[in-house]
Amino acid sequence: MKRGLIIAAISLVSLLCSCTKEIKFNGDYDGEKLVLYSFANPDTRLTARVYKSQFFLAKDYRYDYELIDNVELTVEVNGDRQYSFVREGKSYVSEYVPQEGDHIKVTASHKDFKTVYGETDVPKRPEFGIGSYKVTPAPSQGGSTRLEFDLTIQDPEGEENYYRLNAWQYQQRFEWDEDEEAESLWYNQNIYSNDAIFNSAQLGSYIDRIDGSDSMVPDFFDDGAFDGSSHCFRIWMNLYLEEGKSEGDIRPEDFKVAVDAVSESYYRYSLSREAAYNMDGIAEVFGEPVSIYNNIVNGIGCVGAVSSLQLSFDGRYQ
Amino acid sequence: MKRIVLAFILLICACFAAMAQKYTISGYITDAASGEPIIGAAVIDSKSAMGVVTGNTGFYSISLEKGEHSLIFSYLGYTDKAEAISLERNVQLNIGLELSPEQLEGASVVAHRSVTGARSTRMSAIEVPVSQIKAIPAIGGEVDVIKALQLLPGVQSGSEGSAGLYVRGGGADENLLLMDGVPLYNVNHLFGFFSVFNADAVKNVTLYKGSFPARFGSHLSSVIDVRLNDGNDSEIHGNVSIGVIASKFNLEGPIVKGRTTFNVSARRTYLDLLAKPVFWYVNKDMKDDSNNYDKVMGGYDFYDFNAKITHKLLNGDRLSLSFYSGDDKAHVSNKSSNYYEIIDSYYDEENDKYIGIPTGIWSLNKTNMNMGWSWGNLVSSFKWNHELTPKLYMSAGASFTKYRSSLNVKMDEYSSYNQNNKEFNITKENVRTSYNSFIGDFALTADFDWNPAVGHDVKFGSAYTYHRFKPGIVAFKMKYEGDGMDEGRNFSQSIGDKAIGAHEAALFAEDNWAINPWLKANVGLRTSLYSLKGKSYFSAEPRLSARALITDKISVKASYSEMSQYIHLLCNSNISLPSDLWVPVTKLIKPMRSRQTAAGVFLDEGEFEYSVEVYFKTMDNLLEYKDGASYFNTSTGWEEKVSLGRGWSYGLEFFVQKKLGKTTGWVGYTLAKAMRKFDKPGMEINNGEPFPAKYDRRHDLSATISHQFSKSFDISASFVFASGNRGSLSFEDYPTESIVGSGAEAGPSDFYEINSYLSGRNNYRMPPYHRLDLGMNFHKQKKNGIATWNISVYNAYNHQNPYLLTVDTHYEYDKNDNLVDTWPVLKQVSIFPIIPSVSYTFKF
Repeated sequence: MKRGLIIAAISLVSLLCSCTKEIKFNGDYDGEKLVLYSFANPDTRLTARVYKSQFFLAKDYRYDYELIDNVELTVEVNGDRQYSFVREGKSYVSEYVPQEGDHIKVTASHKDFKTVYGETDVPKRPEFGIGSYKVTPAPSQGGSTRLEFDLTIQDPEGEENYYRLNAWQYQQRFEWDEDEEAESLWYNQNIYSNDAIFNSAQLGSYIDRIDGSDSMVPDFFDDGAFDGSSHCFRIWMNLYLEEGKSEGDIRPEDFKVAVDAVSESYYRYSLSREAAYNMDGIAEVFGEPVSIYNNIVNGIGCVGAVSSLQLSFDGRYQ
Repeated sequence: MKRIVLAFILLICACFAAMAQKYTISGYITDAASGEPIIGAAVIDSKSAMGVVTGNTGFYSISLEKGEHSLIFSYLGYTDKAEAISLERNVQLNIGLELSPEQLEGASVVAHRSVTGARSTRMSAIEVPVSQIKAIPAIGGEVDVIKALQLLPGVQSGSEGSAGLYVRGGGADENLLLMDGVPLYNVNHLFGFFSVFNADAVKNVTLYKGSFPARFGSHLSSVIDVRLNDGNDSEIHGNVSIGVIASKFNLEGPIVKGRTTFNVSARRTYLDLLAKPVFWYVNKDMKDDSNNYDKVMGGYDFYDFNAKITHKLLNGDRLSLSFYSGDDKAHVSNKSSNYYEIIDSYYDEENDKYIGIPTGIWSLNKTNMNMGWSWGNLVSSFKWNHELTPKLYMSAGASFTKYRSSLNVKMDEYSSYNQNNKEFNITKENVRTSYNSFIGDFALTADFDWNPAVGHDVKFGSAYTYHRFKPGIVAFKMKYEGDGMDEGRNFSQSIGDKAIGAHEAALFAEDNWAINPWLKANVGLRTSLYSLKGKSYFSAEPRLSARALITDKISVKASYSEMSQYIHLLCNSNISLPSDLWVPVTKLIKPMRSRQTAAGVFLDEGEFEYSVEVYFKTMDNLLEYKDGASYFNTSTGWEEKVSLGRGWSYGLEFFVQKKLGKTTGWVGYTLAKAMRKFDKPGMEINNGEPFPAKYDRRHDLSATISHQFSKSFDISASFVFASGNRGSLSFEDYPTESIVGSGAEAGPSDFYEINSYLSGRNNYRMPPYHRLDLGMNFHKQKKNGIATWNISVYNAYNHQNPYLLTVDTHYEYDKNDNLVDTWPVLKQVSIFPIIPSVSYTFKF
């Protein structure tokens, strides 16, 4: 009798439990594609990287991606000049140095894939200035010392513009090993603002060291609220105070701010990439699916542009 | 707009011009045995072939020329009644119809189309008798009104088991669900597996998919008009039913015979009681008096309660008061305690191991967590029906409806250290979080039925509604106390959207106009004004339909309707939850609007009714969450998380039903397509390109049949086949890079992230859905009533229907059980296998 009850209970539970089974994929998939990235910067030669995507159910699925060799890359500038790329280390590099206002089209060809291309305009460097700034000591109940400053941006008229904000503090690097000599580097700082042009109080969510050891980027905003005019907003960043130092030891030359004018493609790509990054955990179940922006025809990736201007707190532009 | 209003005024004038020496016959048509008013019964004058149907209170009014007439009163399942009348003045004539012999023997009556048969102007509408709803096999034996409607052509169900309705390409929030004329905002129990409608309390269900009567508005895609029983006016009757998942009872009868009736029904599930022994077994070794335990408890239950009182005054007026309350409650709690001695350890290099040294200090951590989630509706309404003149009938009322959802989490933590029986470093933390949303309406209505002349059946009226919304408030409270602190730290904050009030006023009028014996038209107009926070929206919604009789049995119909909707339901595309938010239009978010054109051929052939309909519908100002948005993120208001776009759908519906006899049933097939496009700058979804709607199912076939072998035994079956739902699935993975640095140092990062490339929203179609349900009833006459055993099987051949898809890993082993290879595979998760159930009902 007892065994019968146990068997009946197990049968009932197994009946009501969810079942999974493997199914055949029947989607409209046309094969692996070239993945092309090329970000123009007026200060440097144009580079590009080319990978290939892989089918999510590939039997030989791999978790690392390497640059593809033997890719024929060209860039067409303003419809008339053409430059080619050669492989140098981790990228393909061309002799072309982008200029503000250029329209570029980067094309990648490989015998095993469809030819892909992406286009963008190189934006003009932004006009901005740092206004008054001050150091606010940490509150007694807890918190950080912070540097507050006013930033004024002059937006060009007649077009949609997109920007990215970056700030750094020159800091001594912390070393676990006491025998290692600590060196100083420029560290990205999280930056904050209550201005309505930003979506949230904290702008830069991730540490992004200038030596490239992290892949996330600070925040972006557009000119919708101040198109064609100038806009001033208050920014602050929490400061790192080295051991034994106080607010009085803070030097303006240890900080710098950069405003980048970015292409619309890079703006959309970065925001959608950040939205996809935030999809982990509960957001993945309850959030809407994110489609990362892609402006590569026949392929995936992004061809974008960034024109930067850095300003130190002692007034020097860089 | 001006032309529409002018045409309407001209039509009203035509009505007045047509009033010659006519008299009116009016009254109520009821069930002769119970006194229950019959909705949709036909009254036809055999001399002039003019006819009307009864309204929601069973009232009819027909104007005819002075002289001799023969009126036929009929309703499917009842014996026709003929009355000869010599019409010299206005006549009051109440009729009681008797059940037909087949109905007395228990033969079921299927989806009945007196409202929409071949002779009616109405199309795209179906009336489903409750007896047929009760005959359809259901999960756990729980018959369900909404599940029955999902078997009709043009109506899609959502996910497996869901009570959502997706009508002609519209969304789940575009259906106006009415309980005795009062809207319900969430009709789901158990996350959509059951609806709030207790079939024992329901008298009549009518579904409108198009060609909407002008008295209905405020939702784009459908109207489901559910009417509750008034109660038997001569005897007390009832039934009690005990099933696997829930039990219910219904009791109806007279308070004053022939005058005042009552109807009460209730239903409660006992899943919480069934879960108790499971949790007892899981926790049986955990003792509260020890310091080490981890106990989990949980449960879920829902209930529905309906009550209605109807009173007939001496002057013929009718008053009714109805009430509904329903709630779902889910709860999970966890109590844990962890008590251990702190051990210092050091590394013994000589022996290459770690040595632990007891410190004599004990750590105690106690956590008590409770999560409770409840949601539910409360509805109450008062109605007054009054015959102002034999030609003018009024139904006025006041009603209140609210839906609220509340999620509460409590966590209490206590920790301390103990050494030599002395406690120190005591800390206590109490956290309270709650998420609440609410929508409620208070409404006043006045509807009139007016029979001004032969061939004109006019309805007009007005409504005022005050809406109150609280679209998501999160409250957070924390209290922290610890040793060494002079006082505790408290923190409390509420964030989210503030409560909003809105006003809605509407006027409507329509005329069912018999132009000549073969051509009939329904011309209507509804106007509404919606106002909140200083912003107003006005809409005029024309409603037109026409019927041309080819023969006595064949007709061709066409219709055009416009509808406006001032509220939206924000729900995640992956799953639907009770906490999905109802939000109003605002200055930024405009009203939704639909335009639907339909045409069809209808044939009544003896026991069979056939119809073929085609439709085309467009919808504007639809809402969807933007990519990556979720309502759990309250850092921005809901308006900033949504995009506005449009949709369109078209399809072909084929429907045949057998209405009479021992074998009855219907077959419905739909071939349809539904698309969406969100391309407003800054609000693009899918890069502004068109994409399929989530429930874009190309083919949908439903069939239901029931056969009565004898008075004591009958069987039923239903079969569903549908193309799979759509979902967003990424087919390939790729690395994503960014730019790091700035100025001359800017360049691509050395690191990449692996992301999935989504080629488009809703780009993948899941495998097809099909299912067979079977049921059988064994009836036995007892001394005081009829006892029925119902045995039913849901998903009789145990087909694993897809609920969601997931990517998993396949592990390949050799014959020695060594892992040799792995690769990713696509899997579907199914939730309902074959589910047998049994229930017992006693009807007295």
